[in-house]
Amino acid sequence: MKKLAFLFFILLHVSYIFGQNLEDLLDEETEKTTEFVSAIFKSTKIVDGQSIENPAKGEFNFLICHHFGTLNSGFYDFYGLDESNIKLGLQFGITDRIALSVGRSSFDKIYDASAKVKIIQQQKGLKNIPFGISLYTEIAASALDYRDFDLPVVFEHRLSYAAQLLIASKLSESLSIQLSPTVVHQNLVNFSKEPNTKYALGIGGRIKLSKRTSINPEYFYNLNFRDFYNDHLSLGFDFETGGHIFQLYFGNSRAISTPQFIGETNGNWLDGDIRFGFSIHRFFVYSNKNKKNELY
Amino acid sequence: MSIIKIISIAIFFIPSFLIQIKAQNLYVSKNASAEFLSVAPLETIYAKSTKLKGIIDIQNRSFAFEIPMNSFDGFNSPLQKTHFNENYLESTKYPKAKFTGKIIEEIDFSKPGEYQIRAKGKMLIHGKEEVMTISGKISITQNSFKILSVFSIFLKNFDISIPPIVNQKIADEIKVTVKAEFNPKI
Repeated sequence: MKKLAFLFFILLHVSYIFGQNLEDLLDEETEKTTEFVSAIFKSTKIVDGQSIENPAKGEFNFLICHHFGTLNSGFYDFYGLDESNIKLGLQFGITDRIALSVGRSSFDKIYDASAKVKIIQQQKGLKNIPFGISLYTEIAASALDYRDFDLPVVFEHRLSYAAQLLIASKLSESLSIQLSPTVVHQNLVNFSKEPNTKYALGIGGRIKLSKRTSINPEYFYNLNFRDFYNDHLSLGFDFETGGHIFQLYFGNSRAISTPQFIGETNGNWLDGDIRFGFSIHRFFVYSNKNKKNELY
Repeated sequence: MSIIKIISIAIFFIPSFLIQIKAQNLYVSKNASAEFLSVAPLETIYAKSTKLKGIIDIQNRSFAFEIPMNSFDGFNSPLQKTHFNENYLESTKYPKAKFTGKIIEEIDFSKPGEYQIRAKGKMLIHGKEEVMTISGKISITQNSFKILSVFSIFLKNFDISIPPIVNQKIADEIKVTVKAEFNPKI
């Protein structure tokens, strides 16, 4: 028994001496730090729905979105390209966790404002959190002229709201998924039995094809308004070039603002009510503490 | 007490004693800095990290340096930092850059003064290894020394490809400056 222990000690120490080299010693010096997982999605949107990403602090994103008409509208409308809905938006990174945005879409002449707050960030190292959670809220006001309608329209009727929890995880370098439970509330709806408060569950993802291109599918399953509207489904292709991100996609929603594309999608993929769309994201810096001129 | 017992106790302590001696030759530098500069026709990019760590064995003049790639800050925008880590250095796949090797000149670390030295070793960046010889200056003072080195990295040697659309914004040759102060390892 003693001899065994003796042998064990020798082996232990011999391996200890020979196992040590400078690189290992260096690793011992390294303390663990928290590393936030970056770029779960390339842009702040998956397709039409919001992704968990925010512009960084001091950065703003200028956004141009287009939804064209349906592909089944035929040659006369040039397969939808004659009809166009556009949204212009600005999204500001106020802090690394909070982003505020304003936008204007041509469909229903909607003005919108939104806030996205990172509650939990996916991280590795000191703490291991395999997913991130953000809260997204949007308020949209339609400026449509209701003069021709018989109904009396008060200002409240023009408002609609959306609130989303964005729960996302970068599973690997090339695969990210996101769940987006959503509540939409519209003060005025189109049908008498249509609910004002609508629930939907969104699922989206990103599959990277290369470092700069990816395929993004997105689906919103509607929970309590299936009798009135269809589910939103779109499939996008993203590519980035330095400061720009281009997203090209096919989807079945006409509207671009969040309460409308989730709550009022009436296109049906199987009937060919598919619209081509694209978004262009351009990032600008409005304040940068690391000015290179200070250094040279 | 049996002889075997005494020997085993002695052997238990001897190796740690040996390492003690070895450790006296070791000098470490925590939070040393590395900065890089890319000067291209349309854009100058600068970033710096203070997470560089180094260790030098003055007995045999061997050394090891390493730096986490995602610790670089600066750049011209936060997006540029993201691109640096995501598209160019692939920092999740290759989290660290390393330089390990030996100092060529046989300098006496006990004599204070400034010396020009060259270091030859393996540079590991973006998962690719390259044998490099870089020169620098060492200033030795009582019980500590400082190292300053400026050298160039060629991106194509480390499999970092620049897409044609940004080749006017990123230089092929990146100038790197390393500053480190070494103290005895405790």
